Parts: sequence; C-alpha cells; structure tokens
Amino acid sequence: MRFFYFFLIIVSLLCCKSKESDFNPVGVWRDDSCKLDLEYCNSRFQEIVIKESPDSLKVRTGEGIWKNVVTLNKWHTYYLELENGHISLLFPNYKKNTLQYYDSINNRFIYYTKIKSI
Amino acid sequence: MFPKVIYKPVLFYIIIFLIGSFFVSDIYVWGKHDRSCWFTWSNFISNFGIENIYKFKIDYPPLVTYLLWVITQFNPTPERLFLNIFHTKYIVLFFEIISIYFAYLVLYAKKIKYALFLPLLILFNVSFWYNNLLFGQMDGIYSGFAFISLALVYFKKPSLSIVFYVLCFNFKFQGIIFLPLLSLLYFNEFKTYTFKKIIYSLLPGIILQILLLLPFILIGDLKLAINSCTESLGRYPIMSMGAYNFWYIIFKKAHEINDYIGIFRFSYNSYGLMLFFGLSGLTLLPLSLNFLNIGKRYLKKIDLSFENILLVSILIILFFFFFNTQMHARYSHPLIIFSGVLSILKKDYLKFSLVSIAVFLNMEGASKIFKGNIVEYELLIFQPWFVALIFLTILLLYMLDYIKVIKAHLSFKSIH
Repeated sequence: MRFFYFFLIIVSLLCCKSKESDFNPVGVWRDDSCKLDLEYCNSRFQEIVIKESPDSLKVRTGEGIWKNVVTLNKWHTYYLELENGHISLLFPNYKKNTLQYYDSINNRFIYYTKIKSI
Repeated sequence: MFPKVIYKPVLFYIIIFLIGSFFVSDIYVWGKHDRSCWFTWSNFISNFGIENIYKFKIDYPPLVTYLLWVITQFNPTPERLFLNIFHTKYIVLFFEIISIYFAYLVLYAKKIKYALFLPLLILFNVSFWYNNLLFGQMDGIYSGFAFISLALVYFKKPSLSIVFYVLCFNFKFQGIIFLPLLSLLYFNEFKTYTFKKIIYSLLPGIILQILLLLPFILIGDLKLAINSCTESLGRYPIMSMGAYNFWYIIFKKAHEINDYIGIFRFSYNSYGLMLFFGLSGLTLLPLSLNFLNIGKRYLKKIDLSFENILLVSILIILFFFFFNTQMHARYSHPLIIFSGVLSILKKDYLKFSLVSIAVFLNMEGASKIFKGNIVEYELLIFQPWFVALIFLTILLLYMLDYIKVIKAHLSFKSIH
C-alpha cells in the first residue's frame, strides 16, 4: 500500500507541467508544402481559414477555389472530410504551433502554419 | 478469507491478456467521436499536463486523464499519439482481465469446479469485449473496479474495497449507483469496529481521493474539475441516447424526444429518476432494516452471501439503465460481469444468456459496427422495443429471484 501511494504521488507530480495553453486556432493556415508559392501547389487544401466557433471551415482547394467545408469543432480540433468519405481530424501541435491532419488516403501527415491572425 | 495469490492462475490470465492483445485494433464506433476525445485530450495533456485538462472543459472524472497520461508517455509526439491512441484499449483489456481474475478468486473461494476456466464465459462473450475492442469505450474499467470493490467486501477487506470504489467513482460517475449498497455493506462491517479502526479503514480511500485530485488542487482548478463533471449531467436532454430501455417500449422514437417534456406536471426525466430511486430504495430497504436491527420480528437476518450481493447489484444496474432517460447503450455494460459471476455461482445460465443477448443487440443496434454502415437495422431482433422487452424480461426474472430471497426471510410471528 505504501508503495502504491508513493507511486501515485510521483505520478501526480510528474504529470504536472504548470503550463497554460495560449494556442489560438483562429486565423489563416497554409499547407507547409505550398511554401510561399500557391501557384505550383497541388495540395488538397492549400489554405484553411478558421474563424471563432465555426460550424464550417473555409478552405482553398488544389484548384485554387475557396469553399466552405462543414465541420465539428471541439477542443482545438476540427473534423475534415477528405475524398470518398474519409474523415480526418485537423489538430494542433502545441509545441510547434502548427495544425495538421492525417491523410489516410496517402498515409501521411499534412502540416499547416499560421500565416495570418483574424 | 481472501485467497492467497496463486501463481498458476495469474500466469494463466497473463497469457489470456497477451492473446487478447492480438485482437486490439484501431476500430471505433462510427464517427470515431470517442477516439477523437481520447486523442485531443491526450494531445493537450501531453503539452500542458493533467492539471490543466479541466480548462479544456472535458466532462470525464480525473482517473481517465491519468490513463491518457500513461498513453502520452509512450507516444510523445502528436503524430504518434494520433496513430496509436487505440493503445488505450490495451489498458482497458488489462483491467478487464484483472476483474475476471477477481471473478476467478470468488469462484475459487466458493470451491466451484473449473473456477479457473468458467470466468472465460464472461471474457470471451462478445457483449463483454464489444465495448472496448470494437466501440472503443472504457466502461470495462469502472465496471471491473465496482465488481472488485464488492468482492473485497465479501473477502472482509473493507479498506481495500473502499480504495477500489474510489477508483471506480473517479473513473466514471455512473459508479455512484454502487455507493448505497457499498455504504450499507461497509456500515455492516464497521459496526463491530472501534472508532480508531474505522478511521484507519477509511484513511487509504480518503488519501487516494486527495492524491487523485492533487494536480487540480495544486493549480486551483478543483472547482473547475467538479463543475466540468457535474455540468455534464443533463447535457443531452434526450429520452434515450441509444439505450434500448423502458422509454422505447412507450415511445417508438425515444431518441428524438426531449426528456424535459412530460405528463401530470412531471417530466419524463423525473419519472425515470423516481422509478430508479424508488425501486433501488425498495431493493435496499430489507438490507437497511437488517443492518439497523429494525423489524427483526418480521424479517430474519438476510444471508449476506456474495450471490445476494450480486443480485442486489444487478437489480440496481438494471433500474439505472432501464428506467432513466439520457442513457447510452453502453451503460448496461456492468451487467455482464455481475450477471456472469452470479450465473456461474448459481449454475443458472438462462439469465446470463439473456443479458448477453440484450447487451449485444443494444450495442450493435445502436453502433452498427458489424453491419458496416450506419443505416438502421430492419431485423426484428435489433428493434429497440424488442431489445427493451428482453431487458424487461431480465429485470422481472431478477426481481422474482430477489422477492424469493426476501420471502424466505420473512416471518410473521404472532405478537402474543
């Protein structure tokens, strides 16, 4: 029992990081693979615009067209529909201040960096 | 009374766990909402620690966040966390097998033949592993803790039982339904204790509770933690959130009806609560009278066998699941281990078979994982009213058993 409590105290202290979140997803996010030139970028969603409490995201598609995509938004995370019914999560990397989603069709992560706050 | 640890059975269940681990996969219920919760919370915990998680407005008790913290220690990057969040299923499976091991200990103590193998009837039952391996939820952990807690009362280890109940309640708030029965059993146990011994028995549970809340106390978020969880009550004011219960016998589309409407000045939500509390109170009344030495002339001392404790627990779980509104399909999960062990002890497998069928039909009917698409089942056996009738049958059969127990203890002696 003593070992159990000792273990629990250690866990309780270890899991404390005393750091509060300052991550703000609201803004314009650009696919890292597009870098500065959207002209030659063929990414699925070149840019993503996130507003306060959205029920939809504004995305710039590979064809350069802006469209609204319906989403569910909770805990800094957004549901994102890819092709053929594949749904992924757009979620933050708090350390790097980036957003990313897992492209389950091509089995890779797509990263976004914030280029503008709204 | 508590059986000594026997290494062969421990090894046997470790092997079962290792075999079970091969079946763990990234399958979740449609929409993967639960998977998203586990992942986003873990991702946050990984960066800002457990103590800040209630700023995120999560609505689960603290012990779940500790489990997620363990997962983050093996998956330090968000990418690995996203791909491996289903590893939570290994932990749930581990605790489920511990609860099955305790089922074995009870059977072993009761000198049941094939005590080692019979609990596998519960473990290999699809209705038992559906919740974790397919749905991706964690009800197996709190159900297991509740079962272990009751088993430890039976083994005359009230202090350790309180520790497991604290774990149960801190894992899922539904664990509160076991509190009245456990309180009565603790009261009965502590009656012969000195005040000092009672304090010593309560202390481990109290210390554990404080330690579990320590990160939130240190950062000043305790109130936020309590509020986050209590505010989740009534968040979805729907007659049924997928539980095929009493309300589906009355209303065809219970999942579309707001439970704040009602008849005769009471909401359906209130009727559900009244039925749950009323019937639970009636069930616990004979035990309470016994323990308080009231009405000895009419009610003989009820045998506190583990069978009777399980029977009362099963009835309370059934009242909770069957009559309350806002119930999810998975809230019936504790029934399986309780009913399974009781059936083995009594060699009466009919009710356990019915429980397994009803729980499975409800889980699959509501989540459609085997079906492969989210279109409603048209088969009769998956219709909510049909499954609700099976649950009603189970409820009546267990009530009948309990009435028989009480009747056997009634005595109407002449006052003269």
